Amino acid sequence: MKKAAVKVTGLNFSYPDKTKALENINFSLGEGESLGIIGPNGAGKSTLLLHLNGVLKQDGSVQIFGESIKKQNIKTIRKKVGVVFQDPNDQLFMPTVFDDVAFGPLNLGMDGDQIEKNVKNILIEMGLPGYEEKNPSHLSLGERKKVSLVTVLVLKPQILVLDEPTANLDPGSKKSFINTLKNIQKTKIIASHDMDSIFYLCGRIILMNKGKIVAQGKATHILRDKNLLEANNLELPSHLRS
Amino acid sequence: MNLIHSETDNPDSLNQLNIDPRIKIISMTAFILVIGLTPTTAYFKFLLYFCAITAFFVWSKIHIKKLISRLFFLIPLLAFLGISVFVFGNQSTSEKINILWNLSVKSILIFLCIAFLILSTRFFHLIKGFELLKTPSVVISVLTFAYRYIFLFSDEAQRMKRANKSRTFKKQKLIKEIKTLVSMVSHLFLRAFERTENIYAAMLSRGFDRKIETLTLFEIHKKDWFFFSVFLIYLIAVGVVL
Repeated sequence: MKKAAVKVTGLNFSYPDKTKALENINFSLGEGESLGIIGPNGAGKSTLLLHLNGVLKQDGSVQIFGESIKKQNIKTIRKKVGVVFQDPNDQLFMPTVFDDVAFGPLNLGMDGDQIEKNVKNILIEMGLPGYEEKNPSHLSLGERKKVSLVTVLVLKPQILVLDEPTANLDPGSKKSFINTLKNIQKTKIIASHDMDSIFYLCGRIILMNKGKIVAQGKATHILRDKNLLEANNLELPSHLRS
Repeated sequence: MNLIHSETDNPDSLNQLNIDPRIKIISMTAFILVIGLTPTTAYFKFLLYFCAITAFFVWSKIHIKKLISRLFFLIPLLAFLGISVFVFGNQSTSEKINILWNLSVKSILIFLCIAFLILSTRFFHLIKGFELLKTPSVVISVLTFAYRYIFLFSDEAQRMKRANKSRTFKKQKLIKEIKTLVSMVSHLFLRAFERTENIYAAMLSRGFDRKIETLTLFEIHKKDWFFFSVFLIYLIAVGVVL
C-alpha cells in the first residue's frame, strides 16, 4: 500500500445561503496516483478541490501526507498542494507572465535570484521561452492554461490539483495540454467532465452528483459503465461509444 | 482611443529610449514642476522646453500619429479653459489672452511630458518604477489589477453589448436604452465581484499573505545617471539661470 497523499474523511460544506455543496465525502489517494473527479455541473467538484489546500474552511477532516489542514500549517500545505483553477483569467492576475509565475515563490519567501532563475527555467521547460514580459491578457487560451500550470509547478508541489484543465480548448491545444499533464510525475487530482482526458490521465475515479460521491473505483470500470454515467448526465469516452 | 498604450501596438518602439523608469518618472516630474513655475511671459523658455520634449520624442522614435491621437484628449480641456476665461472672467481682453496663453502652453507641455512617459515606457515598467519610488502599495495594487483586467472587462462589456444588439430588433426609446445600460453595468459589476472572489482564492492558493510582492529586475546604470544629470543641468540652466 502506497503512502496516503490525501485522505478526506466526513467532509461537509454548505454555502452561506445554506445550499449543501458537499455531503459526507470520504476518499483517500496514494502518492503518485492520479484521481479523476467527474460529475455533472453543480456536483461539487470545484468546491471539493478548494478544500484540498484550505481555501475553504472544512467541516470534516482533510489530511495531506498525514497532516491535517490547520491555520498554523496552511503555508506548508499550500506549498504541497498546487491548485490550477478552471479559468486562467482567475489564476493569472499579475501584469506580466514573469510576475505571475514569481508570485507564489515570492510569497513563500524564496530568494530573488533563485526565483528569477527558476521562472526562466520552468518557462523554457514548458515550451514558453521569452514569455516573461507578456501580458497574460494577450495570450491565447491554450497559452494561458499552460502559464497557469507553470505558476503552480514553479512551487514544486507534491500534489497537483486541476479544475477542468481542458475546458474550452480546441482539439490541438487539448491534446498538447493532456500530453503535458501526462508527463508530469506527481500525485494528480483532476476534476472534469471531459471523459476522454480523464480516461487518458487517471487510474482512479470518483463520480459525484449533488455534493455526494455516487461511485468510486478504477477508471476502466466506471468509465465503461454507460448506465451509471448517463444516470449522472455524463457520457462514455468517445472511443468507447461505438 | 486609448490613452494607455496597448502592448500589442509596437513593443519594440517602447524600448528605444532605454532609460530606467525611475529616472524617467523623476525627470518628468521635475520637468512638470519647472514648467508649472515658469512665468507666463518667458516665451523663450517655453520654446526651449518644447525643443527638449520634441528631442525626447524623436530620440524615442515615437510615431507622430500616436502622439497626435493622444493630443485630441487636450481639445475639450482647452475649449473648457477658453470658455471659462472669456465668458466668466472679469479681466481685460489682454489679461484674458495672457491667462489663456499661460494655461494652454503649460497644459500642452505637461501633457506632452506625460505622453512621453507613457508612450516610451511599457506600462508595467512604469508601475514597477512607481513601486520602487515607494508609492503606497494600495495604489500599486489598484494600478496592477486595473492594467491586468481592463482588457478583460472591456471584452466582457463588448460581448454583453453584442448580445443586447442581437436581440434588439428596432430602435429603442432613450429611457429603455438607459435602463438596458444600467442593467448591463450592474451585471458587469456582479461579474467583477464574482471574479474577485475567484482571484482571491487563486492568490491564497499560492501563499498570498495580504501583501503583493513582486520581483524587481531593474538596475540604474551609468547611462541612466548620465541622462538624469544632463537633463537636470538643462532644467536648471533654462528654468533658473536664463
